Parts: sequence; structure tokens; C-alpha cells
Amino acid sequence: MPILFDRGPKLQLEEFRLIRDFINDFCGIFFADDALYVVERRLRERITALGLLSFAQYYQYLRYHPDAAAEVERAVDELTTNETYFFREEYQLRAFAEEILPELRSRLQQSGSRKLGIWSAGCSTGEEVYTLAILVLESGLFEDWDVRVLGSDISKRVLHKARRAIYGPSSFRTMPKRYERYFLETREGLQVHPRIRALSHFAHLNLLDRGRSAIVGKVDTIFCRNVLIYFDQASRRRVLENFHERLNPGGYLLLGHSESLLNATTAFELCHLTTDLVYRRSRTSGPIGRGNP
Amino acid sequence: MTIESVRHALREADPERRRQAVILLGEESHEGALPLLSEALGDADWRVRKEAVRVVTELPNTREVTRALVDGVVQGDNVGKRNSALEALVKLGTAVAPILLEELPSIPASARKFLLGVLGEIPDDFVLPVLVEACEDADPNLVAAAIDALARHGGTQAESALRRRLSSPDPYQRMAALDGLSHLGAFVAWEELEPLLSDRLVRRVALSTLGGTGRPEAVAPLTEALTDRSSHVVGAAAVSLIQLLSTSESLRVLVTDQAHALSPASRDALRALLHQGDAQARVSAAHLLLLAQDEPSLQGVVGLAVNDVLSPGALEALRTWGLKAARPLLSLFRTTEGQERAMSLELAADLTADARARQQTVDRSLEADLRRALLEGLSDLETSVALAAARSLVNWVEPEDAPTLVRVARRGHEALGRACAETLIALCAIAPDVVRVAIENVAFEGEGGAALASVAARLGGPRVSERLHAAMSADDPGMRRAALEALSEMREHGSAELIGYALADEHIDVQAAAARALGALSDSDERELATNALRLVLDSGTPAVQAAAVRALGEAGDEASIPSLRRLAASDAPEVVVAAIDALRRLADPDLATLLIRAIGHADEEVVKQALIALFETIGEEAVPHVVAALDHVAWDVRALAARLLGPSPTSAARDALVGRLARERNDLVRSVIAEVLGDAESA
Repeated sequence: MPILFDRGPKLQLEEFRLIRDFINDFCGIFFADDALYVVERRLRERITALGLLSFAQYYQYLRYHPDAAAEVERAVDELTTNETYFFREEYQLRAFAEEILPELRSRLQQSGSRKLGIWSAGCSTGEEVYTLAILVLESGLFEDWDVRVLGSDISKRVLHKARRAIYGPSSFRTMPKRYERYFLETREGLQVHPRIRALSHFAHLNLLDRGRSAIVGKVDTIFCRNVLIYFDQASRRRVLENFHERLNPGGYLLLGHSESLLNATTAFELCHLTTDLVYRRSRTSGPIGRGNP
Repeated sequence: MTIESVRHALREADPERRRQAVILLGEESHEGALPLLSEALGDADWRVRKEAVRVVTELPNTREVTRALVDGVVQGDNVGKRNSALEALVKLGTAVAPILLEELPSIPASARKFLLGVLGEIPDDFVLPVLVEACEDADPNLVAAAIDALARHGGTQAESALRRRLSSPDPYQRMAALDGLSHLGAFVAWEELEPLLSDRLVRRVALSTLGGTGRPEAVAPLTEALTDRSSHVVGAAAVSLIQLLSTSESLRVLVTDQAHALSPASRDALRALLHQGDAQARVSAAHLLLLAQDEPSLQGVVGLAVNDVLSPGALEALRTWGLKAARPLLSLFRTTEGQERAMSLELAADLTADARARQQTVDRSLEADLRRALLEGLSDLETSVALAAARSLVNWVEPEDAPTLVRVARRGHEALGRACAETLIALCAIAPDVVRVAIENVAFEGEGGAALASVAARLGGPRVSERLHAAMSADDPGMRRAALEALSEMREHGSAELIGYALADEHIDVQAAAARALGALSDSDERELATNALRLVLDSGTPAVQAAAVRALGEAGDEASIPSLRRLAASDAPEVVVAAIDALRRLADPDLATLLIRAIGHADEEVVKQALIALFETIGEEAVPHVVAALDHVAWDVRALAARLLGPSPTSAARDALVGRLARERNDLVRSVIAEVLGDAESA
């Protein structure tokens, strides 16, 4: 998007607040006033695409147009899109593969379960989902288990790309070569191998919609990386309560490297792994610990 | 349910049953409920505790409740109970403050510090003396709690108490006090901060507060701090320098000069900061490095630009760097992937185009390299790169690029198609025949066809008309919409009738586009046909289409539609009412005022705003009483508009209303508008 020289309609502070609050009511995403220029840049394209002339008209479109719900999803997609790629934040994935998966296998097996559920909440174009599926398969720990990696997002557009599972070179910039065997060459790029796709599923979900999120069922790990940063505090708490409900006891919550649950909730316990700090739902439904209510 | 059964339920293993028992304690008044709620505040399950907090804060007897909650804080064993009790006390707020102040002296110090924290959350000033007194306590933990509470409370008295702690012999207290002042946004003078700069423990906080002093003396220690071993110190210094830079012109010059003279060690530290630390530190580091015109940091800066993290000030610094940054950015294009590659290309192109526009001399080899890169980018598989190239090529496009642009437009990405179309339209100005040949045999159906329709419209001609007529029957509604917009632009005779058919399209957006297109034809020889067609949908269309038709008739100046528009101004659909008011205003309907006064009472604030604007335009100062009334509207944006409409020269009644509103107003934006209006009125 053009960044250096202003082209197109200007976003006034009042319009920004009206649009911001509208989106916040819909899905909890929140932008402070100093993000006005970001919102202006990222939504200008939508105004052009819809044949509108100003942000005031765009606000009225969001309020009244029969297709407003789809447009809000589109706006959220534009506003929160940051690039994702395979094996992003490798140190965390290493912790997942080397410490979390073995612990889960051991504990689940002891309890008589052979089912592993992972939820990538805010999966964008799907690279994270397929990465996690690859790691599970590579671990060799879950042969003949019922493994499901579910990716959800509020944007139908990115889910469409996720389901197509075809990616260009920039999606592979940090992927170790040894995983290339999980991809097949096509004219449009590399497509995820059917074996990985068989473990991967997608759903259209608003993280604030607790009722609909029950579709996820109960899972053993939730990845929600660089998503909560977009929520205001109240919405963040609601989402985390939702996550707590979706996690099996002992299940893990992994956030982005600059995110924490500080001032959001004390319902999770902090878990020190070798290369990462993660959160975990208590293994019993009783006390998490005297020092950490 | 009896109290015994509730007591029993609170012992159940299932936390949900315990939570329900707590709810019952709140719904039915039970004697003996408070001890049980006290117990529930320390339940093992957080949801039970949360429910207990809610219920206990709704109980009527505040003194007894407060005592029970204080007991919950004093007992030290159950941390959950303590935290729940504190949460409940904060929620009760002012109601419990006097009781807490009474109880405080008799409470053990270990618990007193938590209660000081509660007092800090209570907005009333009568708690302040206790907090200020606690700052002088012999127990350092109490002092720390008091300082923290003062920082949360805020206000002049709190700030004074915090300032006094800046000279405390205890370094932790100095740090906490300075942190508190910084958190409150209190002004801390250079003279108060300078002694703290050599204090190792307090230094970082002192550096981060220097930015607010507005003093040139602060620049040198901040610049020196950029070489500190701690990235937190470097970050604090960077943020403060940028804050100083935006204070005044002289400080901007001073900080910019310092940036130009940054040592290699400082640059290294700032470059490292681009990839770590909090967002504000990274943005400030980027800003300083751009001021320094530091090439090695460009990739990091581009990475921040991709995520829209660069501030307007940092972008301005890049603009100032200008043409000299273009070549390094082009090099980045060759060595990066994805959005960084796209951003590097677009920045290089934008800076070069800007230099040309300013009539600076641009090296020919740079332009040649840029054009090569743009063509390479245009064919990149990554859409973001192709899009950046398509947008930027407009300044370097040659006739031979036409077929490539057409091919890329058809890749199926909407924004990419539009960008290619705009560049092709620019090419039409210098080589229309080349563009005509390029799109001649390209079907409008399919990917990218909609974008190419707009190019065809610019070229015109009978063959184009025929193709656009055919495209009006395309399966894709986007194509149909593009075709009718293109026909409207071409203004060919006979197109109004065709576009009129599209008012009955099965897709709302095509219908609305048809209404807009007919409105655009109202100043052609097809005016009558166009306005007749628009009037047909006033009663039969969906609100979005009705609104588009209404606006079009207003813009067309169709006075014959006034009676229909008046009727639509009473529609159930707010967007139709808004459009009708706007149209009637344009048509100068003589009876508009009556209708507008009714519309000001509408439930939808967009209608109210439109009515206020139109009323003020229509009857001028006579509208003031109605606008003044709108200062009390429930929606902040209506209040803001009302304040703005009262303008730089409000009547004395309006001025009084504005002053009264300002005293009650909580929305910061509305306050700001009112203050501005009143300020303008004073100076006028």
C-alpha cells in the first residue's frame, strides 16, 4: 500500500473513532488513536474497491449495507494482516515439538486417550496450521492417533487461501529444507501434501463468539500468536476465558513472543520450558497454586 | 434454598455447583450469607471467586461487608481470597473509603500495603492525606505501596508527594516516584531530573522522562545514553529524543543534527533495537536512523514499514532522505522476499518520482535500474510485489509494457487489476493505440476483466461500446458493474437506457452503481431518461439502492422529485433518510426546515447529524436552539457536530450552553471540539 505520499481520502479523527468502535463491537479488535494513520492507509483500498468517495461513506456502508458483515470481516483482515509464513518463531515451535508434544503424549496415553487436538486461533492464510501438522507428524509420537489441527479465522478470504494450500516463495523463507518433502510443486507454487492436509481443518470463527467457538470442542494446545495484541483489554479477557474453556486440563496456550497474560487473566499457570515460556490450564480443576490464584 | 443447603453446595466438588450456590446467596437475602461469601472469595476455582466478588459488592451493609473484606485481606494464607477481597474493595470504591481509613491504623503492616493500593484506586481526594503520610513510614514496603497508590490516584497533591520522594535516600523510592510521575504524565523539570541521571538505578526512568522536559540540555545525555550496554536504556533514550524532536523547531534541528553525527556504537545499538524491545522503542530507533540516513538499517526499517509501525515523523525523515535512499532500497528489493521486497520497491519508486516532481536531477542509470526492477516486480508471483510494481510503474511506463500490464491485470487479484488499469490509463495519454491493441482481443469476462473495462472506457470507440454492452450481460456482477460505470464515463447516446436496465439487476451493488451512473448522466442529453429511471426505484428498490437513487437525483438537481424525496425523508431506513435530507438540501426545498426539525429527533444518530448540518445551512442562526439541544445528545459524535456547528461566533446562549456542556462532558474528543470553539470565540 502507498505509504510515503498521501493519495486518496483522508481519515478524520471522528471518523476513525466511529469506524474503530464499530469494528470493536463486532469482534473486539481495537486501535488506539495513534494508529489512525495505519487504519487510514489500510482501509483506503476498501473505499476504492467499493466505489465510495470518503471514510464517512465507508462508515455508513458498514452500518447500513446488506453486505456490511462481510465488509467488516474484510476490514478486519486488512487491518490485522501481518505476514505469516511456515515455521515462524522457530524457537517456540522447537519447544512445542521437543517438550510439549512428548508431555502431551505421555499424559494423554496414561489417561487412556489417543486423541490430540490443536487449535490455531487466528490462523490467517494457514501456514501455522500446516506447520503444526508437520511437526506432529515428524515427531513420530502420534502414529495411529486421532490428530486434528484446527485453524480458525474471522476472515473468509484468508481461509480460502488456507484451504487452497498453495504458497509462494516468501512463505518458505524460514522453513528448514528437510520439510520440503511435505510439499508438492504446482504451477502456482508449492502445495501442502495431502497427508498433512488430512490432519488440518479450518473454521470461520469470531474469537469473541463463545457459543460458536464450542464447535472447536476440547483441545490440548492453543496457538494464538500475535492476535491478542489487536484486542482491547475487555475483549482480550473474554477471548482468554474462551480459551480456558476450550482447553483440556493440562492443555497449553502459546502466545506471540511479545505477548503475555499480565493484567488479562490469572486463570493460567506459567510454564517454563527450555526455550520458551508458555501458559497452561491447571491439570486439575482445583487450585492452580496458592501463589497464583 | 436454605442457608444450610447453600453451605452444603459450597462444599461440592463441582465448581459450577459452587458458583451457582454463590449466585443464590446474592439472589435471596440470607442471614449468615456474608461468612459463606467470605469463604467463597477464597474458593479454589477462579470462577467461583469471581462470582463471590460480584455478589459481595452488591450486598447492602457496607460496614459489615468492608470489615469482612478487610479480614479477607489480612489473613495471609489464602492468596486467592486476599486478591478477591481486594478486587471487591476496589469495586466498592468511595463507599468503603471512610471505613478503610478508620481501620487502617489497626491493620498489620503486611496487609496495610495492600489496602493502600485500594485507596490508590479510589478517586476521592480525602484518601490522599493517608497516602502522603504513608510515604514517610519507616517500613519501606509501605512507602513503596503508598508511592504506587499515589501514582495511580493522580492529581496535584499526589504529584507533589511524589516529587518530594525524588530526593529520598532510598533509590527504589526515587525510582518508583519518578516512574509514578511519568505514568501520570506529570511535567518533571530538567532541574529535577539532572541529578538522577547519574543514579544507576533511576537512570533509565530519568532518561525516559527527559523527553517531556522540552529542554535542549537534555539532548546531550540522551545521545550519550544511546551507547549504553542495556537495550532498555538505549530504548528509553531513543524514545525521549524523538519526543524532544517534536517539541519545537529548534529542538527538531538539534536532535536532527545529533542524529547526523551519531557514533558507530550508537548506530549499532539503534540497529539492534529495530528488532527487539517494545514498539515505541523500535519506532523511535527507526526514526533516528532515518534522520541519520543510515543505510545498513534500511532493511530493518522496511520491515517496520511493512507492519505499518513507522510513525508519520519517521516517514517524513525518509522523505527528507529522499533520492539518496532510492538505490539502497533497490538493492534491498533484490535481496528480500514478500512484503519487504514489495515495500522496498515501492519506496524506491516513490522517492525517485518525488525527486522528479521536485525537478531534482535523477541519475539516468538509477531510473533505468528502477524501471527494470519494476518490470521484474510486475511479473513476481507474490501479489504484494506485483501490486507495488503496478502502482509505481505509472511514472515509468512505456508503450511496450501494455501487454504485460494486461496479462498481470488478469491474474485475478482485484487491487492488482485496478493498479494495472490505472497505469494503462496513464499510458493511454501517450500511446492510446498501443493500449487499444493490447486489450482488443482480451475478453472482459474472467479475471481482471472489470479493471480492463475502465481502460476501454478511456479509449472509447464503437468497438469498445459493443464490448461493454456485451459485458453488461456478464455472469459476474463485478463485471456488470464495471461495464455500466465505463459506459457512463463514455457518455454515449443510448447508454442511459441500458444502464437503466441494471436498476433491476439481481445484485444490489450493480443496482446502486447503476443509480450512481445515471446520476452522472444527468448533465448529458439523456437527462430526462436518466432521471425518469431513477424515480422508478424510489419506491421499489432496497434501501441501499433507494439511497443511491435519492443522492443521484439530488446531485442531478431534479426538482420534480422533491415530493417523493420528502416522503422518503420519513422512511424507516436511516440511510434513505440521510440521503433524502442531503438531496433536499441540494435542491433547496423551501419546506425543508420543518422536515429537518422532525428529523433531529430521529433514533439514528447519522440522521440527526445530517439534519443538523442541513438545518444550519437552511435557516442559519434560527437553528441555534436546536443545535444547542443536540449538545446533550446521547451520541458523542452528535455532540461534537453540534459544538462545531455553533462555530467561531456562537451567540451568548450558545456560548453558555457550550461552557455548561464542557463542565459535564467526559468524551475527550467532544471536550476538545468545545474548547476549540470557545477558544476561537474568545479570540474573535
